[in-house]
Amino acid sequence: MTYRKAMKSCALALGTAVLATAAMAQDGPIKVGVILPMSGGGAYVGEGIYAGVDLAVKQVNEAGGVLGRPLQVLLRDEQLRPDVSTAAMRELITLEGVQHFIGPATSATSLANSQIAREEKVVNISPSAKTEALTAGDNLHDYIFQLAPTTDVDGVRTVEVLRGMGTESICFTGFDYAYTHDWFAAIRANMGDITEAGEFLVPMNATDFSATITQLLSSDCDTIVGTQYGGSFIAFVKQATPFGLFESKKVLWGSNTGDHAVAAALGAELPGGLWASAADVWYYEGEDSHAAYQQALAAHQGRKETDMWPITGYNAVKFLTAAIEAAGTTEPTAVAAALDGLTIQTPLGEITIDPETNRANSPEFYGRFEPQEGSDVARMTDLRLVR
Amino acid sequence: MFANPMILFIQVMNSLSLAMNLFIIAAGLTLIFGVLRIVNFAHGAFYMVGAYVALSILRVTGDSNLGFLLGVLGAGALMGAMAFVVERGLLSRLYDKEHMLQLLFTFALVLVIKDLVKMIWGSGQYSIGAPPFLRGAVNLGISPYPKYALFLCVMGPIIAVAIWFFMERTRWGRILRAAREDRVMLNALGTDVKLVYSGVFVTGAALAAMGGALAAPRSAVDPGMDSLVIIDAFIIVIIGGLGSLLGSFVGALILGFLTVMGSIYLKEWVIVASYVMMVVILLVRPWGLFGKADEERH
Repeated sequence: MTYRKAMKSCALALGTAVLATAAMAQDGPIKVGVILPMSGGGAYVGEGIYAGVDLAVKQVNEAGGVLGRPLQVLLRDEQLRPDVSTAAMRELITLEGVQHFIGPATSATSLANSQIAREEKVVNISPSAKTEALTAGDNLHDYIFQLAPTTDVDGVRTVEVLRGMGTESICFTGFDYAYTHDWFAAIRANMGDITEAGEFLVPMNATDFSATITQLLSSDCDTIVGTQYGGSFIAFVKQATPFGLFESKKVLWGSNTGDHAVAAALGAELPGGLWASAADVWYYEGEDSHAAYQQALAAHQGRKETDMWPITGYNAVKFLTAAIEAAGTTEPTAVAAALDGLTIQTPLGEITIDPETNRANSPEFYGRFEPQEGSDVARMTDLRLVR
Repeated sequence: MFANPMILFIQVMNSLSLAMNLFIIAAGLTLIFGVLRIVNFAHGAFYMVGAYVALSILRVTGDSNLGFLLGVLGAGALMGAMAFVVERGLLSRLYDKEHMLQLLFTFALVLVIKDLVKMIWGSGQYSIGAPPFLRGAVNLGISPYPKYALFLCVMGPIIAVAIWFFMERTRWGRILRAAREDRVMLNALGTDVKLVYSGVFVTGAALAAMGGALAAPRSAVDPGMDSLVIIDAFIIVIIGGLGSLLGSFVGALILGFLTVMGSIYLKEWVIVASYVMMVVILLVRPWGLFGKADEERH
């Protein structure tokens, strides 16, 4: 074989391989990059969201996939770190050719990844980040979509609840970070004649709240509004209870502390009367679609008392698949365009993505924790699904 | 705050309680460095394992005073046993190697332990309540104060005195101090230095685990609890002087007061205050407040 013939053969083989790969990419699974905290203190959030993603993907694939193609999830651990989260996204784009992403979980990591989505023109659905900054001002672009209620929406809803609680004056407390500042600002903007008696913030990831608890006790407010989350909320409750904080003040907590996982972790230590919010509660009995979803989730997770995070991942997959169906293609620009103004049926009713803000009008539960007869785990009573 | 003696008193007590909680954890770290000269990154992971083991023991025994005591002691015993296996099987092979290898080994240990914890207990959050006799508050005259926080204020000095007595007043303590100064000479004199090293590593790990079990009633038990505490523990032993028990005690007091009082007066700056303090102390006394400079050792 001459040199020229050999080169031609190589070129032909290469061309065939490229065409075959392209054809396989068209017919093969649709890759979905899922970037969530799967280790460390945020793992319970990541695993919860992933459980919802996994359930939805299973349902979609069992029903024949999307455009006749199955979904394939590529999961990466973001470790709650923007550097790790962005590296994972770039790796999935570059090495795996992923064009559709769900996650990350937190506001900080979501803000970082959203910039890559803008640069690389890939679809990025944020299931759980609440900061307004993600889809405000210069940060808003065609490829980022925010499903969780943002802090400005939460502020309006929270003030409604506070009025129902008979609040006259508020003390604010929480971690010193974006969500706290944004949510408190939204409450202040809407609280009208309710007065503010003080703000007592602690550094992110602080584990000792004794100084703040003492300040709250000596403040002239009838209601405390707080934002410590997850394990830090548990620590706050355990440190505040012996001081009698929950007997002397009304308390309303943000950061999804209405999650059943929080109640289950604290058990009998969870103070009765505490108001909280949650994206979902397994014991809600309002809609048939919710009952069907909970039944499927319970079977998927092997337990009836599920947490709130799965619904966020579940809805993210449902939005993505509905948009791909509507676009008739997986091409990210077309999928992003299809997400604008898209309405889907979810376990908690219809949810629409606003085409102007790229934010979904997801509802949220508010309620007051009270002990349950025959169980160590408190549930939210006076439960209201706020839209 | 200073105008209100009751609030001042509570904040001082809060500072002491936090300081003693931190000291219990840092004591093991400084003990291990003092004798083995190893900076143990896995100390926070040992602390986390202690909290999880106590949780499992309490699930078996039920919520009781005895159950809590068994949880704390069981955490120390189990972690001690694990530490013995790790030290004899792996760490002991690195004593004569360069420090970087030892650092990498303890860092690898963190990753392994974190994954083991996740495999055994999952990624969820758990809570351990204070033992029944330490729930609620006790009236201290000027103000009621949580019994469990007060208990930590008492436990810290008790553990400090116990370690001091052991190190300064017992034969084993003299051997440990000799091992710290010159292990080759000690070996030549017929002492089983390997056994000494094992004992120190086991004791340090057990202290970390018991610290985790004792801290659990004030915090959540979750897979991220190690990374938060290890930073504070390192700050304490660095400002106090690596290997100095008294230094760790004073360092814990400084950090405890700085954290509690700083959150009132320094507000958001409190987060950098401990690091600034550490830098300043290292600039003035690179060997820490109560540590010994290398030239003082020889």
